[in-house]
Amino acid sequence: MMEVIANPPIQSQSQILKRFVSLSIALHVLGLFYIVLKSFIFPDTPKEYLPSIRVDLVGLPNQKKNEVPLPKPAEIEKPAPKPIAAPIPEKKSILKAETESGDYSIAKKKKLKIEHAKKEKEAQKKLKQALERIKAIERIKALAGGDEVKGNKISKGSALSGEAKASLETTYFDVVLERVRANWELPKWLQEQSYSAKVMIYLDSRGNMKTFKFTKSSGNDQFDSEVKRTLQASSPFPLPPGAIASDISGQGILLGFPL
Amino acid sequence: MLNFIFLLAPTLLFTSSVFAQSTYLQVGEAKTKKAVVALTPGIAAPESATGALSQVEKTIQSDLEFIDAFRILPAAGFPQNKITASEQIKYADWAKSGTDYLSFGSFKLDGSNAVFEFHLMNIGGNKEVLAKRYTSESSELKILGHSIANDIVNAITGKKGIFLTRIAFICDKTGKKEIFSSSFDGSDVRQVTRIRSLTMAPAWSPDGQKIAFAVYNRHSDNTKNIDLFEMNLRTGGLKLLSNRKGINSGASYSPSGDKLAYTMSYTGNPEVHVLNLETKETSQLTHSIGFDVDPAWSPDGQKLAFVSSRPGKPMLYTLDLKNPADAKRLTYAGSYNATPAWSPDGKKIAFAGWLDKRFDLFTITSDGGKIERLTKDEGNNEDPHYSPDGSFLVFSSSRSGGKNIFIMGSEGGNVKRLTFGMGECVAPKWSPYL
Repeated sequence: MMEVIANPPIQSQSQILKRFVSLSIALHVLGLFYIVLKSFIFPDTPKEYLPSIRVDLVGLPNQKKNEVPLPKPAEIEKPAPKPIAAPIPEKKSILKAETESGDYSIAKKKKLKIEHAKKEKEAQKKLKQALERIKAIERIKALAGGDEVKGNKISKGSALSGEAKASLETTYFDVVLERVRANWELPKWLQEQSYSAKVMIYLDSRGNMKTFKFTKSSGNDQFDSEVKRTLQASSPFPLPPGAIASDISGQGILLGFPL
Repeated sequence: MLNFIFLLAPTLLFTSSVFAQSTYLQVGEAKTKKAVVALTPGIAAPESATGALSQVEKTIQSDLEFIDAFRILPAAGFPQNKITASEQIKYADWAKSGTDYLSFGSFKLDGSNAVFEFHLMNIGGNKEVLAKRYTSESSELKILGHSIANDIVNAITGKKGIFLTRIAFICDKTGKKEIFSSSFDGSDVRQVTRIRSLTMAPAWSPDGQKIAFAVYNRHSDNTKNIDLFEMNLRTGGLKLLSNRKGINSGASYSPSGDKLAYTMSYTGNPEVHVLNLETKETSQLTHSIGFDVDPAWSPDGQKLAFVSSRPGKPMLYTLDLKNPADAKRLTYAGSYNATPAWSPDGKKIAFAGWLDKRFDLFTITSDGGKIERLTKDEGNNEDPHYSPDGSFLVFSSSRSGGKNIFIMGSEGGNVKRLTFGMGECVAPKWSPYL
C-alpha cells in the first residue's frame, strides 16, 4: 500500500501578511511596554543646554556694595596669632611671608601667561565656530524665507541634521530663555531663600504652552506660584522652527528656576 | 519589503525612545519685584468710624511701603469697589490688575475700643493667609495699624514685622548728651534719660525692657569716671552695674540676657569683661597689650566680636567664649575698624572702617571671607546696627551736615533720615522685637 503523504498546505499571501501583522503588533506592544517601563524605571535625564555665547561680568562699575577697595588679607600681612607673647618673632614671620609670596607670584605669573594664551586660542576657536553657525542660519533663512520666484521655489524641507539642526536649536533656546528671563521676578523675601524648582514645558507647533508639569517643586507655594506666573506670562513662546518643532512638542523643554 | 517595514517600525520606536532627550535650560536668578497689595476696598465701617479707620489704614500703608518690599495698589486700579466676604472676590480680575494680595474686613468703634476684623487673601493662590480680629483702645490706633502691618508681613514673608520696634540713640538737643528713642521710622521721639551729663553707648536688653549705657559720672571722692548703668524702661529706675576706676562702657547683652560684655580699664588697659547679671561676678575675657573695646555678642551666644589694637591699629576680632584666649583676627584691611554689629542670622558683621579720610560702613562675613562696602562719598558713616529681622541697618551719618540718625537696607540702598532738629545724634541701637 502506498502511503499518501499529504502535501503541506500552501500558505496564501494573505496568510503571510496576517502573520507579519500579528508579529508587528506584538512587537509594537512590546515596544510600548518597554517605553512605559523605561519611563518609570529610568526617568528621562534631560540634556543640559548651555547658551552658545556666555558672558561673564569681570569688571563692575563703581558700585558701593561690590566695590572692595581694601586689599585682600594675604596681600597686606600675615595674621599675627600671638603678638603679645612674642612681638619680635612676629616681624620675622611677616618678612618670611613676603619672600614666599614674592616667589610664588613669579611662578604664578608664568602659569597665568600660559593659561591666558591657551584660553585665547580656545576663545578664537569658539568664535570661529559661532560665526560658522551664524552663517549657516543665515543660509537657511535665505533659503526658507527668500523672495519666492516662480519656478525657483525651494522646499523648506522637514528635517535638519548635524550642525544646522544644532544651530537652529541653539538659537531657538536662546530666545526661549530670553523670554522666560524677562518675566522671571521674585519678591525680596523669596530671593533671599535658596528655593529652586524644575518645570517641563511642552509647546505646540505655534509656540503655545500646551501643558507644563513641575518635575521638582520648591516646596514653597509662593515660589512655585511665581514660576507658574512666569511661564504663563512668557507664553506664547516664539514659533519653533519646523525642523525641531516635533522634538520640542514631544520631548518638552525642562526649565530650572533658577538652576 | 513590507515585512521589513513592519519589523523596522518597532525597532525605530525603540531607538528613538532610547536616544530622545529633552533640553534643560537654566533660567538663572530672578529680578526683584514688589508684591502688590490692595487694601480693604469698600470696607464695611459706620460713618462715625471712618476717620479712625483712615488713620489705621494710613499706618498700614506707610509701614508696608517703608520696607520697600510692597507696593500699595491705588484705589483707582481696584476692579471691585466693595468686598465684605471672600466669596465676592473676582480673583481673575484682581490678578489682571497685578494684585498679589487683597485685604477686606470690617471696622467699628465699640465704646473706647476700636475693633478691626481683617482678612488677607493671596490672589495667585486663591487662599486666605490672614484672618484676625484686632481690638485696641481707640487712642492707640497707630499701634493697631502697626500690629496689623506686622501680621501682614509675617503672613506673606514668614518674617516678623519690625513696625513696633524702636531705636535708641544719643542726641545733644538738651545741651547734654541724653538717650532718646523713636519708632522704627523716626516718629514718636521720646527722651529716655534725664541724667544731665554725657551718656554713651546704649544697648537694649534682649527682652527690650532695659537699656544699659555709660555715663560720664562724678564719684563721691570728686573724681570723674565712666560708669555703667541700666535703666528699666517700664519703671524708669536706674541701676548701677559697674563703676570701677576708669572706663566701664560699651555694653552688649548676651542673647539670653543674663550676661553683659563690656569694656573696663581699671587694670590700666581697656579689656573686655563679662558681668554675670545674676551673680554679679565679672571675668576678664581679653588680655592684650593693645586696647580691646566694643564687644558685640553673636546671635547664637557662642562668640564675641570686638575691636582690638593688638596688631598696631584697631581691627575686628572674634573670640569663642569657650576658648576666649584664642581670638581670631577678622579684618586685615583699612587703618581703623570699629563698632562691630552682628546680623541677626550671624552670617555677617557690619562695622565702620576708616577709608579715604572718613568713616564708611562695611560688612564682613563672620568667617572673614568677604568684605562689602555699603556707603561712599556721603560724609562720615558710623555705628551700624541691624534691625531684628536683618533687613535694615541704622547708623549715624554726617551726610546732612550735622550728625543724624539714618537707616538703610542691609544691602546698602533705600536710605532714610530719622532725626530732625535733635542736635548731634550718634550711637543708634535697634531694639529687639517688642
